Amino acid sequence: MSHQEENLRPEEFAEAAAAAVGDVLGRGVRDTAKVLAAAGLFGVCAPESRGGLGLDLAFGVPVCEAAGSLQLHFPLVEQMVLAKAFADSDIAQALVDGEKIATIAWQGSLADKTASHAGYADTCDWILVADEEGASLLEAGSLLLQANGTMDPEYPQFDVDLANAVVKAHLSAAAFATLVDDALVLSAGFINGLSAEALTRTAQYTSTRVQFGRPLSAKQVVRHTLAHMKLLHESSTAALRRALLTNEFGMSRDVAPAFSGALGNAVFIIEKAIHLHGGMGFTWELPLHYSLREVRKIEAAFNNGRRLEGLGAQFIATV
Amino acid sequence: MDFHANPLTAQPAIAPDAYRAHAREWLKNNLPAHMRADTLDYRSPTLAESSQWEAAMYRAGLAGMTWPVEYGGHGLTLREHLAVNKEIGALAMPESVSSIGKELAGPIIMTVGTEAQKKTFLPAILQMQNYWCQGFSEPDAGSDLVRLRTRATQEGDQWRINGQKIWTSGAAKAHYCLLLTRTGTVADKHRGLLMFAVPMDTPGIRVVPIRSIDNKESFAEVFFDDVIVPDSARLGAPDEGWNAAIRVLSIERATNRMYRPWRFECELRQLVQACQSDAQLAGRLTESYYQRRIGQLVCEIDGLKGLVEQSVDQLLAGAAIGARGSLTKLYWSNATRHSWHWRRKSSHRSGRPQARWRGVPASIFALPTCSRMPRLSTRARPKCNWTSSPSALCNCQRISDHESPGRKFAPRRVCRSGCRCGR
Repeated sequence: MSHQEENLRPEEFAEAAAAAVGDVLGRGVRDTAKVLAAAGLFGVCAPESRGGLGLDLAFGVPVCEAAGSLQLHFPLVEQMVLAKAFADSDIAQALVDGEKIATIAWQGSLADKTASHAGYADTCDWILVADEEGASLLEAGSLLLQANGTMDPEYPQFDVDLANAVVKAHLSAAAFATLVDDALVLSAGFINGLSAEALTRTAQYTSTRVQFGRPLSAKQVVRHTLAHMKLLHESSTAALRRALLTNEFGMSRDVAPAFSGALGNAVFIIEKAIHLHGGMGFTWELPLHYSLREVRKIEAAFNNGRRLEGLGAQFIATV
Repeated sequence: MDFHANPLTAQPAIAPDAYRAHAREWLKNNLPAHMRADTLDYRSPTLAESSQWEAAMYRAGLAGMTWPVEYGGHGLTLREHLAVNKEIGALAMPESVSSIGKELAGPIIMTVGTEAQKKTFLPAILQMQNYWCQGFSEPDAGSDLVRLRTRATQEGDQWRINGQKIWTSGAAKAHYCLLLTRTGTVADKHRGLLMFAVPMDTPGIRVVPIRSIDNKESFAEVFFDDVIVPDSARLGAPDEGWNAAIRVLSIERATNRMYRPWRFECELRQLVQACQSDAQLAGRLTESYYQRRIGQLVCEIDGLKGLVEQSVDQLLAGAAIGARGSLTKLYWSNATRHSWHWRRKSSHRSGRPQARWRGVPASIFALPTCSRMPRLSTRARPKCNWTSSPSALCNCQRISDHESPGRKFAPRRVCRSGCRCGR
């Protein structure tokens, strides 16, 4: 840990991040990028030589948690991990400064000539896509984009036609694997932020909404449900914190369980939050529904079902 | 049993890494095969065997780690405690037969007991000379002790106790009862609660075992009829003992049985091993549905590990743990419930009745082992032969519980063999 890191605590970043994110809500994507860049959020984990802060990934987590709790609609996780991954080129500088915006198509590859699950691709300059040797950063202008609003018509994921792709830069297989792990960590932070907000909102609502002469939270079943939601959120944050620490033997830990656990827990928390708000069967678009859609989009983008199978198979193989 | 002498003198300065290595080595060399629930030789240890084993663990520095040296402990930190717990959890070991003493009575005595009480009780708990039971719950006062009725009346330098406790674990084997009484009336609610360390052989104490659904008698009702104890049996002043207990328990809940997530992981390994020993179940392990469920359990175990390690860090940093102390236990309970639900479902999905999983070690989360599974499968028992029937439905299981992924059965079927579907 550097001298700088010794004097800093990740928690301190949450407040600054929340202030910056709060400032951009409702703004356009380019304006958002400028403000967040000025606040230094994109470069938290990027090297100092490229204008970043050169801090550990643990310092990026509270930034993403704040973005999740305020429901930021911007490819923040992608921007941060790409700024870190392209540390040895000017690409990092452009991303840190917010001059360029980048996203990642989480499925598909150059070899397939098609990719998908690229959030905010229509507003980005660059899109990272897997290739046979790792990943390629592509010029967004050279690609055909098709919005896929199945999961979220308002903030759709994009399918990308790669037939005429122009490659800007490459990432090696090892660097791409590291980037994916980084994205799992920061996405877990974002997810935990979404569920924390859902929990706070629900606790507030049930303590103020009066039915039959007393607040909803006076009923034991409501309190138990809130407690269970809190329990799951605590376990998600604890698992993520643990994933960022080395194990007893100084080796880094697999971040996949913390990510998948956070996803499963967040789905439960947000769905219960909707339930406790009386939203059973409703399709009205409320903030909690936005949160649920965000979580479901991340779940689909990272193919979480397959990830869980992989974790299971991995465990079975060790027996 | 013959245990090796403790090769290590515990010192506060010793690093957790060295302590972990010592724990791993010692357990590997000393844990008897018949106490490992994942071996061929497994059988439930007797009380004497368990007691002997735990005493040996204590002598080896693997119990009482954080208790002060002057009271028989090893004077170490929660770091070493956690390191050792990880090693204990990694093995299919029996649960402690003195958990009330080590986890409840000991810490409370350490907090409110007199010096004489500490010197008397604490080393004896660690050396497995005394077992304790917890006399809190009553027929009309369970999780909320506001209606507690057991009365303690002072008569000079002694106390007369009258009342009844229920669901008292281990009362039949206990030497002492950590007894909660009240000096006033029920109207006083949480005021006037007084705690005692009462020898269970005191005249007037009657233990009536309760037979539970697993055919065991680990619970009991305990009746106190004009039981006389000296004032020296009192733990703290009125209210002091109970208030201390509340304080202590919030920390103890966070630090007791830290091995749970690693034991849970160990049990999941046993489950996989058990499945691998059976041709049909082994096939299931290659199916995505089962791999995904195991993956979800891996995530739950990871969350549990996170909660345990976070609690240790918070306590070492001097943070007040408060209600967070209960998170680990609660999360573990839920995760274990999910795990068991899935195990039952798995055995049904494979077309095998739950009887297949019978014969497991006594604890609620102990697993059938690879060694026991074949033995179970060779027992004479009716097979579950489902067949289509135009006129009857299984009346004790949902049909979906008998379905395998990707396989559809006729909508109306009946069990021909009368196996009662594993009930």
